[in-house]
Amino acid sequence: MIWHTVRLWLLLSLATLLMAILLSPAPTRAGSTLHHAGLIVRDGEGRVTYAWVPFSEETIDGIALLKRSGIPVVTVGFGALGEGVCSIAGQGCGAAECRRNVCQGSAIDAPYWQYFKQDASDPADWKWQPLGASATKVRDGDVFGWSWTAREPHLPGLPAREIASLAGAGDAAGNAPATQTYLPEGVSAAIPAAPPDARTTAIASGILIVIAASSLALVRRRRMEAAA
Amino acid sequence: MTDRAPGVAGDPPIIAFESVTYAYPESAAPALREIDWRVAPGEFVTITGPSGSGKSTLLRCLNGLTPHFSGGTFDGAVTVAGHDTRRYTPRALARVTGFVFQDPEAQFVTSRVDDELAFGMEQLGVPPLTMRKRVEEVLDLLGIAALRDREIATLSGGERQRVAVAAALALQPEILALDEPTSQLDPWGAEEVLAALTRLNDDLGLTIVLAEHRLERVVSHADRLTLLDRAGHIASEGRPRDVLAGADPAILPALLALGRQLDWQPLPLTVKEGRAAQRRDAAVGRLPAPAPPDPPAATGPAIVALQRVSAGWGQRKVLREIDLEVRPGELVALMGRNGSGKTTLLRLVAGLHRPASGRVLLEGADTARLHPADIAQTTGYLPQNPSALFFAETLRDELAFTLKHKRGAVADPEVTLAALGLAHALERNPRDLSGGERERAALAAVLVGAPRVLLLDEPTRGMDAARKRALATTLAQLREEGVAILLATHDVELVAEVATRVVLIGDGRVVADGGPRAVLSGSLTFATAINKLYGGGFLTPDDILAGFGRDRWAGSDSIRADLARDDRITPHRMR
Amino acid sequence: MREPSRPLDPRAWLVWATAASVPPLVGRNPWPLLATLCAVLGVWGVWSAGAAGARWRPLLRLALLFGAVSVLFNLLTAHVGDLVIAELPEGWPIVGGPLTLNALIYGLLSAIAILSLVAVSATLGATLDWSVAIRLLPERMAPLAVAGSVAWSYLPRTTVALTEIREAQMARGYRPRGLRDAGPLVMPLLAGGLERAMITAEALEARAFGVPLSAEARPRSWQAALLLAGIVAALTGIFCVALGQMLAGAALLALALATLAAGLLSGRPAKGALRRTRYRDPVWERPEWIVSGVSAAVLAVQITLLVLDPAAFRYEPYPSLTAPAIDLPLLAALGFLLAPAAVRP
Repeated sequence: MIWHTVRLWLLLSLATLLMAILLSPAPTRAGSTLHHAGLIVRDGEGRVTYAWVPFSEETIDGIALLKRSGIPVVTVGFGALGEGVCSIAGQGCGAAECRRNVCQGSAIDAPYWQYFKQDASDPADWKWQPLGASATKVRDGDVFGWSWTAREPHLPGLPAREIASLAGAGDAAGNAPATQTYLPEGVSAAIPAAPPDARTTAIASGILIVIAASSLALVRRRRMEAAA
Repeated sequence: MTDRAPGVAGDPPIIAFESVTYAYPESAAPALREIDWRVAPGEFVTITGPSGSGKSTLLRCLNGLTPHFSGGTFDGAVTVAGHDTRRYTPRALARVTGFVFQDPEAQFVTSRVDDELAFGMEQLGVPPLTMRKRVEEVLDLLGIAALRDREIATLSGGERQRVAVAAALALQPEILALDEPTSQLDPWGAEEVLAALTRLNDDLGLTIVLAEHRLERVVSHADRLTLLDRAGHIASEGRPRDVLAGADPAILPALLALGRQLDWQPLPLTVKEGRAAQRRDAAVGRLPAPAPPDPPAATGPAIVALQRVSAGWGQRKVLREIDLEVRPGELVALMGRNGSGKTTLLRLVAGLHRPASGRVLLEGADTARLHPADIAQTTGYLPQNPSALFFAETLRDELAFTLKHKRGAVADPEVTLAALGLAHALERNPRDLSGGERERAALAAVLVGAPRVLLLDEPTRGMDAARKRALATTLAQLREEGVAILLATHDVELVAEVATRVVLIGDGRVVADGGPRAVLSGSLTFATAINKLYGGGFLTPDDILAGFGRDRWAGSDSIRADLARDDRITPHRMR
Repeated sequence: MREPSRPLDPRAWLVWATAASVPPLVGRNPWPLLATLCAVLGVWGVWSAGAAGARWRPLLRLALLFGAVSVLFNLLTAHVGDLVIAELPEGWPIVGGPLTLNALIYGLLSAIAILSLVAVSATLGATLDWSVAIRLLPERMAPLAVAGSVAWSYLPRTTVALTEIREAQMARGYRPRGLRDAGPLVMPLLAGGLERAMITAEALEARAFGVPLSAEARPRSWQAALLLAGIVAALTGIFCVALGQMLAGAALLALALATLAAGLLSGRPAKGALRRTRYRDPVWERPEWIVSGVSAAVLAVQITLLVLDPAAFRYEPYPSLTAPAIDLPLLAALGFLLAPAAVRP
């Protein structure tokens, strides 16, 4: 009896949820004035990328800011906790490992992508954002930073206007995002591993075919023996 | 004269009980009372008695399982081969007493035959060479060398029990104790085991103590019979012939019962001895009038009908193109070797097994379209392992469970229980009941639903003689009330007494179908002991007595009196 | 006409199983995954004939189902990657968002890994002679070995009991309907299991199990202290490794290994004392040498690569789909995992 009641309730709740989803209003476009926010990303080897990102809404969240900058990003959802950042510009890890440890190694001082906000009055003051990027509101003129670090931000203390110019946004009020990466002395730009060439791929496929064929042949031989 | 020579008298006993009284924990009444008992080296002793008389308990004293394992209060002393069992644990006594349990299934600890034989020796640190030699020896002794590498799960019941005996023997014990080792076996399997035991006793001088209530199987093998009564006393003891000459007729196998009625001297223990006595009778013109023919076959519409039914497991066909009709009021006995398809046939009718081809009709409806739970509205199925049936706290709840899932007419639970002699157990947990009581409790749980078709799979396994006769009475009663009964069994004596029709199944086909006198008479494997003596249509002692114009066998009345006194069974109406 | 086959020694199987489990355990590179799957399925196909194989076949079917579920789950929940194949409304909890080819491919690779691992287990289950495997345990663990062997022989009996109970209940008009009706099934199963356990305990007792044999049973106090120290060192070492203190962790683990070995191996029973014996000598012939040798070599190649070039095993289809790395020597080595199929004795 109780079970029936529970089942009924579950059905009703599901139906309500569905209705809510279908009837919810579409997101409205905000006013025509364009806002801008700055972004600094510093990887483990010291490469610094500056970005200047326009947005039409009143506020966006930190993940949206990162994604709209155009820098390659991998994130995974952690339910109500929001999204976790796994890798930025190739540094970090894939989604699977990220789900387990947000790409932080097993050592207690292993680095991971940490999230900071610049103090508007003192550009050298970077405040760590404990709630993560999904929970922060980005407003016009804000500057946020991502750093692959264990503790200290190591982010440059530059004012917003300078970040816009370093990012290559000729006009700080432009309507396209601008990004620019700067390399420290002796560090090369990150080069993705070259894909295997056609010959290697052909040989690998050949090996696979040989394994599969021998496997089949052995099984068939066994079947015939058994039948005999 | 097949009374075997008693053990070497005068030798110091290998087993000595001195006023042993033992009670299980939380039990007021002792299971054994004041037992003084001795066994000489090389004797073959059979302990018998009704269910609950303490046979197993006495046997367990031989290796110290009682009281080391079971607890309880133990008075007196048991000495086996000079070891006082109060001071040695069962594991230490393993070298003295080999033990074989009733259920061949539950006593194995490995999954392969040779591993099982070596297990005890490995525990005792027997050197590998000796171990291999002894494994070979016991394999040969019991004639199971071919089974050496087999998985135990693939063996038949008789083979398993012989492996269990071999495993106990591998430790070269001086005493072999066996607790109803044949109760789970078909007659052929039982004969295999008993023949092996006799050989061990004859050739090796092994002392054998065997608890058993199927006396017809063992009396001819034993030197001595010890009879326990319900209170746990030794009621009588001596050569089997002497003990049985004075024993309660209720426990007597058919042959001995007839011998007692006809005052045959000496009392025959085997068919061969019986035949000699019968010839002496015939020589003086003492011959029974011919047995009446089987009553005419039932007519009318069938309640169960199998039409060209084949069934099996995967590729293996167990039943092939079976045609069979059963009518209300018929009791059809299904007989045949283990694995001949008897159980499969019952399961087909109960809807637990689907036919590969053909149709099974129940009251005209094709069972293929019915759920087993719907089929159970008409049928009652008692499987081989009745314990699987129980899951309620009390017997009352157990019966209520059947009633809850039954539509239409049902029986009164209290009347049903009283009819099966279980009125006292209404509030007890069915799993706490003794073996025989469990079997009846399971039957009660099935009968309370007032089935119109009753399917019984080996219901007499582990039942003593009195219980078996009580079951026969119940079945006859149900049949008279119009219940159609299908009974799969190896028990020819029971079939001779209750069946209206016998169906022999061989290699998945019906090889004979007819009245019990027509089918069982003259059969090499299925003739009763009485039929082997007199031939014709004679099947039971009552047939012979009627042929002599005498009353029914006194044993029947004695049992009824005994059971009525016990409030175990009274003729009744189920509905 | 070939000789009827005998089982391979469990130790050979264990080396093979370890080697075959590395690729699906350490990464998702499709090349080594596919090579392993082909080889493992071949070995399964050759060794799975007969009743034992039939018992384990449902497990493989279950793995296929799990694989399919893992593909679907990954596709619907990991909204990551550059190749979007469909889009679900953002407002939908959990599944809302872009569905990507990247996620689909990662799910497929996971499914292949699951299937390989299950095929390895099923092959072990169907071919391993457990009574021999259990006898290979050190003598000190004899009681544990017997417990394991008894438990193993219980498995099929419990399955049979379950069917019996279900049928007996249906035959009384009872119609089981899903999980909430498990109660009436579990009760008799437990009660029956307990009854069987009692009989087994009696049988063990009656057959000399646990009879004290020699002085080996009682460890001396310094042995106990060594064992205790070893366990503490091992736990602390594991903790250090977890915190990234690799050097200290490794040192502690080495210390633990040495102490435990000293504690366990010292104090052999006195000469001439009675000891448990083994009935069956394990058979170790050419097929065992080949299987274990080849598998050990494959394992060595894998370990070397794990140190020198972990990318050979790893692959991430996120954030953008790229061609996975290829390591030809590794692929060729994995082909040799077919050894047990080729040398079936």
